[in-house]
Amino acid sequence: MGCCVPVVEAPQSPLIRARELKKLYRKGVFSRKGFPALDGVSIEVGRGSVFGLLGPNGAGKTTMVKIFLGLVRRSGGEAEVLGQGCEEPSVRRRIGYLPEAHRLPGYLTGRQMLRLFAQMSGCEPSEIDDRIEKQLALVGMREAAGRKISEYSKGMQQRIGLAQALIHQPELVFLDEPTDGVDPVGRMAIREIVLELKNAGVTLFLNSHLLMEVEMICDRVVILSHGKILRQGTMAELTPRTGSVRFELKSTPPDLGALLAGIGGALVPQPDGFELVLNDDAELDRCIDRLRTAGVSIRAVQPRKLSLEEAFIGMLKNEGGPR
Amino acid sequence: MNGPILRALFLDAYYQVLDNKVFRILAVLVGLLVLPTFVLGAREEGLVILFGVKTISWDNVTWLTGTQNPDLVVQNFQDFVVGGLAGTIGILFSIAATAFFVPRMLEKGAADVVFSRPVSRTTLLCARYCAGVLFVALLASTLVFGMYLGLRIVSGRGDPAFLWSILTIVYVFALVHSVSLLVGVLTRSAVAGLLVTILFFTLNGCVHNVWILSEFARDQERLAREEQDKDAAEHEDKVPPLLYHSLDTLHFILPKTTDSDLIVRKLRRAILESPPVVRDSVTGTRVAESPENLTLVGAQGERDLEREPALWQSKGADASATEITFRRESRVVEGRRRSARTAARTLSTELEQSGAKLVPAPGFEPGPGLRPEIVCWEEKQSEGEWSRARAYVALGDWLLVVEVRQRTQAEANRSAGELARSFTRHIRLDENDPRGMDPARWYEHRLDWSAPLRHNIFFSVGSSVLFALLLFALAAWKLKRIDF
Repeated sequence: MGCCVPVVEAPQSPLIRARELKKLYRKGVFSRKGFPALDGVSIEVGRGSVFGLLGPNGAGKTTMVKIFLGLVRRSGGEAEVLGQGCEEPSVRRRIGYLPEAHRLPGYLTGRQMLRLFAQMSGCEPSEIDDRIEKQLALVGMREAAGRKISEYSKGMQQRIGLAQALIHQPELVFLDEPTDGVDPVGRMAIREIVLELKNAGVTLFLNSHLLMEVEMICDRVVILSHGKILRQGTMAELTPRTGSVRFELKSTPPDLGALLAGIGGALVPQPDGFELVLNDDAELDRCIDRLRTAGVSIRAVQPRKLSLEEAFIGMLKNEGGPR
Repeated sequence: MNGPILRALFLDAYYQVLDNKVFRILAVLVGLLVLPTFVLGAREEGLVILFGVKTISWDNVTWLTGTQNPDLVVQNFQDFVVGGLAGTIGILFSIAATAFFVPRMLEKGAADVVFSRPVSRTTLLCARYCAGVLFVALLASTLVFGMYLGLRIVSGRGDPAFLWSILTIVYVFALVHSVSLLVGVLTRSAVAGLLVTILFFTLNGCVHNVWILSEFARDQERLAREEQDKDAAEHEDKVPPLLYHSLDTLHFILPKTTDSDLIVRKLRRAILESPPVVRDSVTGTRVAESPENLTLVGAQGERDLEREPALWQSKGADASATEITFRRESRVVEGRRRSARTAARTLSTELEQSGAKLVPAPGFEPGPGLRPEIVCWEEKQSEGEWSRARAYVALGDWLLVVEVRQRTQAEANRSAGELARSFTRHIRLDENDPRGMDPARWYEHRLDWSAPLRHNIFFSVGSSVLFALLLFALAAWKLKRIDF
């Protein structure tokens, strides 16, 4: 990365490491009481992964991100980013950040703003022009780059905001609601950019309410609630198979119930087939055999997984319900 | 922190200033103030409009200018625009226009983007502070330099030292802006920053001016005691001690914004003023320059004017055509202490008794300089007819006397009385002699580079800058503790 200060790290060392991270927002200057936004959070984020951060409003997601960026001081625990303390300004040369509901300087044009942040991030002056054009092309803002940011629509501000987060080619990027206010086409474009970055080896930390988006992009997810980690793991770990299998048929036989009697659990008819809870693969084989013997044409067989949304809501319900 | 980052922050400040609507309005107002200096010219013959399209005689505009002296007209205009408008109203406008610089940076969303960069918060705060100062520096430079150019080109007058006024305005604003910065960080509110800063600016000026008055009052009392030989123990202070000490404490702590004008005047004088032609070794009174077309007889420099009066004579062949003598004499004659007026009256009576023809003395002319008592008369002597004038100025135990003797046939532009009046304009009292001064002038004379601490310019500037730095440090300390 051109403008970054090289720091020697162990090859497998995590880019982000937090241990027993705590943040208490005090009620007054001298008060020891307050609202615990983070209460002993420990995570590790590996290089090159896309890490999702989920949780209901007030769970402490943004606070955690801001601690890593040095925007919020931690009340306890340890936090390291790229092998350095979060409070160290120099570490931020290697970090990009797109905040939620950001406000970019409206008195600058898109191009001036990118130049300002590139310079502030310590980029080589000779490289800045190229980088600006590259980022503008990446986010599709070349045409509007000469206009003042105050004249931009919400979607345009989000795209130019993404460009400022990436202008210094960071190793680690925090994206807080990156698709907020962006139309579906723009959202897809942002998803593609995120995947491109992932392929380029950039570590991404995604904070989003759009669970489908997180499910599509992230490798690992942490679910926070009340400032604590409710669950963390890979996407496969968080969205296990339900045991239910969906059969798509060319035509549904009228005696489907009788045909599959004694196999699996409850049968749920669907417009183009049915869903059946099966206990194991042997039951799946028997089910297919019976259908084929009866001359039923099978178009697709799909084991059903829990969606992230279902898993997320389920976890929150178990914990005491979403707020 | 490296060059490109500093350049980036400077450019950011510059763009922010240019985008500011109040800045644009003020820029237009500045243009309107500069414009008259290009349209109107203050010349000897009168007020010249548009390089001579029309000339208005000074007689017709004296009601407006207060004087027919073009130098004074220019000086008064400069003082009015720079000292009056820019130094007070301009600063208030600038406070209003820049009060939002810091609160806007600290707004949610904006702060996240800026403070997540590898630049320390203190540096970013400093950049915002500089943006405010740049705002005023651009306006002040345009105003002062524009006026200077206009006056130089159109009026043919313009003291380069006037350009120091840019520094005065920027200095005062930089001091006041530190208050705006601190309140902005503490409250994150532009309105709070604006109100508190304006209140501070006003109260600070009041405190300092009242302090000058109290200092002046105490000094005058001290002088009166000395003159009357009263025992100091019998004396009661006119300024209550509690008020005096409170004012003193506040004065020492707060920035001395009202000193800036005086300091710049001192700087101008230190740089531009040439050594005096004559200096009285007893009173320290100086003659700044020789009268026009006259030359000093003898060596320049220090002398005892009582024993060795200074004499100026006409340049050219007839040296005695016009003569001016400057001397010092005791106020006490035959055990009685004379005032300048008494001395003038006595002289008039003597002249009347001797049959000399008294002529009216020239009238009072507003402007700087001493105000003498002048007696004018004509007399015939063996070598011809003479126009005579004598001017008296009281100074402590002394009377300063200017004696003018002009041959009536001499082709003189000015009468003897006018010459005497003009000469007294070039007399400068010793800066340490407070007699006969108003509080502002007294303080101007007291304030000096080598004066004791309370009137010392280095202390004034140093303590003011220290105050601003302290406020900046507090703001930076608080900013570091803000969770965005």
